[in-house]
Amino acid sequence: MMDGKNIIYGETALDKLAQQVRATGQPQDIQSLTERYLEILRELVLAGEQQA
Amino acid sequence: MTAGTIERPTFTGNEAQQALAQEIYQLMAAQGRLFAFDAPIRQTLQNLADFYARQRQMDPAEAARLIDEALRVNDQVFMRQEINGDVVFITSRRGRYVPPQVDTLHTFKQRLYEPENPLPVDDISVVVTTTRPALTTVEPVFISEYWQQQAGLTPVVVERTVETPVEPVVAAPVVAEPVGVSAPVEEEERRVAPPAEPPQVNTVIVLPNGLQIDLRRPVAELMAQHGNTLMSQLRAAIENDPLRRLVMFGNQAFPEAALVSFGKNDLRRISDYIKEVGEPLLDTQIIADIFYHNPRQSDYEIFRFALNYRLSREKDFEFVGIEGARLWSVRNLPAIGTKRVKASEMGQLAGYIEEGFDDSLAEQSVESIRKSGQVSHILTFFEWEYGILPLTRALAALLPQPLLADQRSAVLRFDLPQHYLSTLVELRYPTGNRGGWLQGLEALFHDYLVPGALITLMRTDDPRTFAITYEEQEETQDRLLVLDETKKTPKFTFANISYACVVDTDMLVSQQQYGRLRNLKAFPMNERRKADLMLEHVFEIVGAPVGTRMKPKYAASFETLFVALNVLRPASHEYLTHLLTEGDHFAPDESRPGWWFYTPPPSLEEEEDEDQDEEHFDDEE
Repeated sequence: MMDGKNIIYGETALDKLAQQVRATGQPQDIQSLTERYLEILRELVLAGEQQA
Repeated sequence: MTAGTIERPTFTGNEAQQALAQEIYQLMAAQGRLFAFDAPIRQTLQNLADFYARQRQMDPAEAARLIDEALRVNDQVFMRQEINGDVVFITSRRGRYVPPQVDTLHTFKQRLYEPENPLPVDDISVVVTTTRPALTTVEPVFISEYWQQQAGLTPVVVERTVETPVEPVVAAPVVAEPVGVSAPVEEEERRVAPPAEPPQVNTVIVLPNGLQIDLRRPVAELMAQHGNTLMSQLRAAIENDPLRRLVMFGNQAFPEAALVSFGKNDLRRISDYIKEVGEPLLDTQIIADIFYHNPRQSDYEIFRFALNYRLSREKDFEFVGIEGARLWSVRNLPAIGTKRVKASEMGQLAGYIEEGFDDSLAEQSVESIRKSGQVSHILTFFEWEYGILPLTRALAALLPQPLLADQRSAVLRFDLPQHYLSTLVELRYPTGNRGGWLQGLEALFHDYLVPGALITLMRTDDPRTFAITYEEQEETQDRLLVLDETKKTPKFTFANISYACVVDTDMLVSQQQYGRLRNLKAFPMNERRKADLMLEHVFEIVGAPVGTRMKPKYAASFETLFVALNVLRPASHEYLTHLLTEGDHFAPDESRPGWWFYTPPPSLEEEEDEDQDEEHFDDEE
């Protein structure tokens, strides 16, 4: 759960992104990496919205 | 308290009671052997009776009676308590149990409030220490939302409460009129209890460059609209992450913690192998030949990424690959291309392209080049002589872009399919105001082409391999300009050369057309970067003298100047036009379009005269 104003793009949830990339077992290109990252941030924010 | 102070309890009663009491005491002392000296050791009569009856094979009730009597007699050792109907005997390792007394005579509470009128605190140091703590702690600093918004750290939240009060006011008359009396009541209710909206969570994030992204929108939509910004911002964040949670090589990323590490010995083996082969090697070749890693292995791509990432961080290795062909070079590898032109000099000579004087796209657009995958070009003398092609916009559209941000060059392979030849070519990327170029085509040009030849550079299926083709024609021999460097001072001369390629006759530097070019001075490369001076020299050589001895003046056509200037240094039509129009001593010939005049400045005239008749002028001076 997170408010959008607390998200720092490129810093927030970078650990989670690294975990996901590691789990794929393949280096990821920057486009798919960005898409994954946006999905993670989206989940964070929308989970916060649902909880609110 | 030490063992020396242990009191030995004495037991009373008859002999049997004393023996029983002593036995029970020893039993309970053993039970609490790890207790504190004064700590209570408790045991119920029931437990003691069960144990005693089982040991003596007697009735537990009888045993309980005997124990109770024996311990009651020895009440100085055993304290008897009844808790919820159970009889409990308490003793301690000391031999008796004394319940602890809480001393409340002097408490901290009393010391704070008593006496009722405490002495005044004259010196704050009495109650507050003035010494600094050994370790300073960093306290979080609260930054107000206003300043966070001003700094672009948080988005400016748009207030949405404006819509709510407007709605009932507009809707009220429409609903109220037919209902009559009940309408105001409803209106009242609506005012009192507005529709309960869930609290808004801000889903807008702000990128470091100020771009606001609403994460409520689908990812595909966001990528379609702001893909490049999102990718570049994420890349920058990953590259600047001090924890290196993710590391990048080219366009790929992977967690550094999960990468294979390469030791010094591995790096030495790679370096030795590249030197042994004598040319840059692909990462796949290094992996196969040195590490015997098979592409079918599940961790192959991670291993490959790790190798590339690690080599990119080593000073001794240089990445000279492109997307699809990751090539690695090392120091002290044989240079590709001519050594007669230094990289720093060539960067300056090709600088006119970065200054915007590039007309290579006049006849071919970038789209057509990318679509067709080929570029046509007419060789100039400089390009032919040194095997160098300036990296014009047209060539840049054809050739691969650098994969890494700080990549200096890429090594490509150029085939001459008409002669089944292949050569390595170094593509130097432009940096700042210095232009880029291709070098390494010297032998290929000299063997099969001449200045003025029309060549076509084209892509192949291999991303790092390109082809050069030319249109063939019957072999022709002509006296063409060459640079004779066999003597101490290089000089231009004409020599018989046979060629079998189609040429642009205007650009063919033949003796018949450009005989005066033998008088060109072969300036050192560092002087040739001064394009205006080179043009003046070229004008004096190829221009027709139209002035007098005292007031010399030269006339030359634009095309002649273009060919002649490109003997000394690369220049585009646009750059030559710029030099002529901006130069103080050049003027267009109004009577003949495309012709220019050059009037040397007086100081140059004197210097020339000095050269011609040195002694005479020396005497005068």
